[in-house]
Amino acid sequence: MLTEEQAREICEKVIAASEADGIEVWVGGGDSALTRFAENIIHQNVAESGQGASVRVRAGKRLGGASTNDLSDASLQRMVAAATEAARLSEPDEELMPLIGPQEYRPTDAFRQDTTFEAFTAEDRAAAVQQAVRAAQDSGLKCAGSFTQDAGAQAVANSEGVLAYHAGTGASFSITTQAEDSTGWDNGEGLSVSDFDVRSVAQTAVRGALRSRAPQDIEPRPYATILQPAAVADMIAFLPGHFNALALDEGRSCLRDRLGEQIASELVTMRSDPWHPLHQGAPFGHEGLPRQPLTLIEKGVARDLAYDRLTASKHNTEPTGHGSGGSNTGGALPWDIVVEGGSASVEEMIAQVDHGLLVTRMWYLRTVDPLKVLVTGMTRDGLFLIEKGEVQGPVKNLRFNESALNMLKNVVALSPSVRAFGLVVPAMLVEGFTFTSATEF
Amino acid sequence: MLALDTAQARGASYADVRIIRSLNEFIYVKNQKVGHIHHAEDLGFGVRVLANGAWGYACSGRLDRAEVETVAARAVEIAQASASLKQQDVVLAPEPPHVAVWERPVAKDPFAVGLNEKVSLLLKCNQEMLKVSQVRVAEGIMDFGREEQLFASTEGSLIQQDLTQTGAGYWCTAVGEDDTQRRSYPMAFSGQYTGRGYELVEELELLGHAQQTAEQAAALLTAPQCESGVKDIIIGGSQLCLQIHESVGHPLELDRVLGTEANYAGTSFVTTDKLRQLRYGSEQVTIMADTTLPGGLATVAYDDEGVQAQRWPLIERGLFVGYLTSRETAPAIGESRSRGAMRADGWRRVPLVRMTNISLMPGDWTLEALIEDTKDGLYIDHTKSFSIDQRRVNFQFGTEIGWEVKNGKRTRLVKNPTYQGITTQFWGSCDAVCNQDHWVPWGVNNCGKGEPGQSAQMSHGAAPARFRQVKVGVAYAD
Repeated sequence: MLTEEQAREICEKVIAASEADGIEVWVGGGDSALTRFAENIIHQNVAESGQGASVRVRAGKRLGGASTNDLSDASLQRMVAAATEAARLSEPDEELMPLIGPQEYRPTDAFRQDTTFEAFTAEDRAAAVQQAVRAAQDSGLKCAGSFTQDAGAQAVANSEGVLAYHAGTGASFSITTQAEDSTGWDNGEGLSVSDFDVRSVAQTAVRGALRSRAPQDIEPRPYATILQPAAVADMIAFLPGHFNALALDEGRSCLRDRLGEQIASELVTMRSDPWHPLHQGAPFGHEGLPRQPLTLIEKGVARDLAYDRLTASKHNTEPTGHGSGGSNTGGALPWDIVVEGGSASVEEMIAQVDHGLLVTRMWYLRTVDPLKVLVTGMTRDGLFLIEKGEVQGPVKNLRFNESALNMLKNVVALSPSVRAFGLVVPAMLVEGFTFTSATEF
Repeated sequence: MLALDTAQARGASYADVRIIRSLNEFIYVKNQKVGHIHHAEDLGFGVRVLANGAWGYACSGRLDRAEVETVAARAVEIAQASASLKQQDVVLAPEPPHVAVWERPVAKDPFAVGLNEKVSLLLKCNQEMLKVSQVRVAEGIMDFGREEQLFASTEGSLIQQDLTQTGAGYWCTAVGEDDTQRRSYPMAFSGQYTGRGYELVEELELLGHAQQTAEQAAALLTAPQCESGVKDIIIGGSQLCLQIHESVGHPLELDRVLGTEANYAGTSFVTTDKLRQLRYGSEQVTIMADTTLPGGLATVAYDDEGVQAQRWPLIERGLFVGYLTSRETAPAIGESRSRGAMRADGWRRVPLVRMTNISLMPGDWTLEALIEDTKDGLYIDHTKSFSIDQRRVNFQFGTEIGWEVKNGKRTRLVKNPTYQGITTQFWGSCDAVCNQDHWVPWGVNNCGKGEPGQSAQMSHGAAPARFRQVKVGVAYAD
């Protein structure tokens, strides 16, 4: 993994190699490994070490970019030359913002030594997987899943003195348990391999498969629905892009004319927060600006937007440090999303439901109508019918067509938040979640 | 050979190494500004080994002697860890060693064409689309890639391949009072991609279609909503491309069928007992896998485990007859040789069973005759949304544009068409496929699969086809 000193050296070398009017540099590198299992055996086991650099070079108002994964002097010089040539042949961007100068960043703490290649090996991953497989086999089930670990660093610099560095680790364990006519699923994820208990995750998935046996048909229609955190994360992921101020200017955001209005239940507060203990994300964006915490939705009211520098200047406001990478025309995207949780347990939510469904997770979600944030997808790995406050039994999977905004309007209860698929979200009880067709299992 | 020697010395019974150098030029324009011009170079290698009867894979972007030895040794260590949880040794279907050099035929090298010519063309397309007042955002890309691969194995294969690909297209968003509508040319998902050179860009006549594309986006703002109900639908080629991809290609990947994607991409309803038994579609439906297809995005001479390219049927006149296989999976269905469908996303990723070029064979109809023959239907094209369950049974797709077809005539425009079905019922309802004149190998440039995630490219040849009595408009039904 790139150390801060190595990253600084590379950035300085790249900047020194450029004779352009200005240059921005990104450097990154690290290790990642993954052990994948299915049919109760390890069938794929991989490790990767990589690094790379990219630049954006200015020739007057023109921009050009280049990248390489070879950090030798000759390769870095070739990269700068290629970007300079691209800039020379490009068209001028009259709105190009000047480069920023040195910045101060509020650090985050994302690196866990116990998750590096040196501390946690292929044998350790295999041992963890063996525990999970044993838990499945003990219940007569097959299982499939993966254990991942990664450690990486990135740095941003420019010819006006910006230099920012961030290092972090991550790990996740995910398992699907399989019986003849049912599946169960769970996952754990965090900054460290010790942030989840493999045996406990596996046992949750085992219980899911056992409870899902012999699923019954059910009519697709709107139901009061409890979405476990993984399902909530999948739906919430469609919303951050609408808080891009540029998307509003272009008329492509669902928040058009709705800022300051109640767009969700008063129970819903959604933030972009890299300092959240479960995130610890990079405290800077692609433009090298320090990221600002954003309250995107506060008690159901649409509040903050993410601004890149150009859009901020047009609105006479400050950029928020969420500028997107690569393209100079993409605006700003809030990430490190946190939806604040409530105090209800999933069991307490079940007790509130007279007739409804409990969704373990979802699959293959896609936007149907962007302005309505209408999303379609399937339930997966455990769908349960709730009657009179109790789980009555498993039902076959359903397709839904539901707006992520409507979902947030109809929230009536929240559990405490956990990390799921890179977001921090609670389980939700939602009134009137719309299911539209059935499948065969 | 150092990687192979090291792996064998450490205890590997089989090893292969892939060294890959890739070049990419990507241009993105938006609203008459150059958003992004980027040149990328990437070089690295991956070592795949069998040791103690189990797989290990390691890779690196550093190609010095010490790193090669370290990575090869790491691959063996990982395989040994894998072997702690196995039921039987991995056995590979035999493949003769190949020593070969091959490159995709390219008429016009895209890297030799001036950057300003490319940028200028995209900006002109932008300008043309922005002349339509409702169009608020106009975007376009060109994307050129070249991958130089060297594959060697302990079985004696030594294969060098140079693979060029070209992509180009644009799209625009029209904004109304309470709606936005997008239209793309020549297809959604950033345009058309092929395993060819700059000749593709010239053939697409990009500038000539910009005005109509923008006008259609604007017209969709005031077009009526596609009603929900049951209709005969004629699906255009670029949308059928995705239909083939999602509801034929993925379910016939044998690794999914055998369960190795169960936790992520899912499994498949096409279990091995259905081979040569399942009626997948109607008599009109013949679908071929073809790694030799000229200009195909997946066209190679050898796959990423050194198996020679092949062409074979997946569905013959409606009957399911073949899978996509690898050397490890082929024996599971009693086949003695892999079909050569193992592909990896560069050197960082291990090969998986992936789709090659998979195409619906053309029929006899002209599009005009097919429309004339349709009493109450829809003609729809250009993918807008797509979703299918993890066993590839229940799907729902949406298209950018549709027209009602009444009594043999294409009539009014409708917006937001969606259709939904069950895979075998849907293909079983196909009663007409248009002819070779309408047949185009449409490119999919970003097919995701696997953990860690891998992207693959492939073409799906298709001509418009008709499907009887399909549920439409479900996504918007009250």
